[in-house]
Amino acid sequence: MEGLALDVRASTVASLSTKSFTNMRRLKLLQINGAHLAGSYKLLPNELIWLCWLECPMKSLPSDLQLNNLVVLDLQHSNIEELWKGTKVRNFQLAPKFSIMKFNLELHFSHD
Amino acid sequence: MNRYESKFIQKIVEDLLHKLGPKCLDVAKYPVGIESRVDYIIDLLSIHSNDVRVVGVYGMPGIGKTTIAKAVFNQLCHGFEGSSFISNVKEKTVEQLQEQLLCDILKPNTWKIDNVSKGVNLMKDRFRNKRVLVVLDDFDQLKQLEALVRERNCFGPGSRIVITTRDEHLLTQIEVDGKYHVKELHQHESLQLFSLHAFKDTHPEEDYVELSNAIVDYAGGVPLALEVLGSYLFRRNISVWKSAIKKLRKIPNRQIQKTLRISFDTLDDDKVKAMFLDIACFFIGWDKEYVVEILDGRGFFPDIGIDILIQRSLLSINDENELNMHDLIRDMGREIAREVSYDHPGKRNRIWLLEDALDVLNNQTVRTKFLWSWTSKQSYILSNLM
Repeated sequence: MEGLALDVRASTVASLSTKSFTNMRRLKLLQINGAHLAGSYKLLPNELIWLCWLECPMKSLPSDLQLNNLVVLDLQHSNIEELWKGTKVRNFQLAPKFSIMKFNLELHFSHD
Repeated sequence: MNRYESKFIQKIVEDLLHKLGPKCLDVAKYPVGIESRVDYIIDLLSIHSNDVRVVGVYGMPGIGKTTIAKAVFNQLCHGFEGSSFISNVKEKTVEQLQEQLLCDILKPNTWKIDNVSKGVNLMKDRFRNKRVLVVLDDFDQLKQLEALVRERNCFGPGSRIVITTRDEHLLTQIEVDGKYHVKELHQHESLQLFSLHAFKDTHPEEDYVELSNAIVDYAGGVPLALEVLGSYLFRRNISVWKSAIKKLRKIPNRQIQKTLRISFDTLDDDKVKAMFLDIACFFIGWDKEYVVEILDGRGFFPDIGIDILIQRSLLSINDENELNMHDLIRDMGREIAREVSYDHPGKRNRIWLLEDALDVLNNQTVRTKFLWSWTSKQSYILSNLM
């Protein structure tokens, strides 16, 4: 599996378990608009290139979420106030190719 | 110049642009056969009568309904007090559609609608004395149409509404004042459109006349098929043409989707194919630069790849720099992505439907448990054997 998109904003789905992703190690593209995730975030695929999580219900991303290959992080219309607890949005560790972060405000990153 | 001055200037520019009227929509690279069809629709609209008229345009996918509707819009919009062309409606809520209509016609004001009847009342209130032109492109749900045009007295006298759809019955339900069936292009129009794509000329090159006629015959007068086949064969040698005809011959009933598929199958780079499938499944309507970053991260070469897809008429980029794909081409791409495994979405590479996604996610949980119990049972047996 390389790409999975789901938008639960208009559905009755309450929450998804991160366990569901354990067999998707190769997942590169993930869209989970409006989803609540339960469980350890270590189980999410860490090869993700695109994470689009519009209306993400959390205030900050969980500390065990690893996004070492992420290129685009899209968290528009979400409740996110800081990326990881105690880390200002601008200071968080960037993956080598990281380029676009869409937030409630939009930030672009450039690499030298 | 300070910030306030620059804001002020921006405001003046916006007002001016608004006063200059709507900007023209991009119609088609080669508008073959459009003019006569547009004239017919304008006739049906009887522009000079003072009532509110609704005209429906229907026909099969790929036949050119949107192109014709855009041309009608361009030709007429300057004669109205307000105009709106509403497209890509599939994923929009009824309230969003009403908002768009209000914003387009009353710009630069913006509107927020939270329920349908409020929207209808607002439209009545604001449009009643305005002569407007509205095009509703590619609608297939009665609910969406009704929220916009059920009450004709929402619109000022002399207003005109054009609806395009695949579903003629929908037009009957909404009681349109006139219908136009978009039919296939004539043989000579087909050959001309095909030649423009394949040779950048209105006629085929001498050595290719017979081959061109054969291909045109298979495209069955459907502009999208003519465009895709012509774009594929542009600057190709005779042997490629012959093999294309051989492939076309095998397609039963000239099914258009299979015809279009030749263009995908003959992409020689697997990365371009994968890129096409990514876009068809996930990125239609997204900003090009945004998607380029992602595809680049995938290890593809998106700038070249997107160019190839555009040359092949499998993809286009609109004025807002968004990736666009004809519905039929998108469906073909999704069909290919689905073919990998019809019954087991979990074995597919790409999933974009909510039900399939949930199916896969639930099964994964179940499967993990099952595997775990199986392995523990196995290790139990193993440990007992030892």
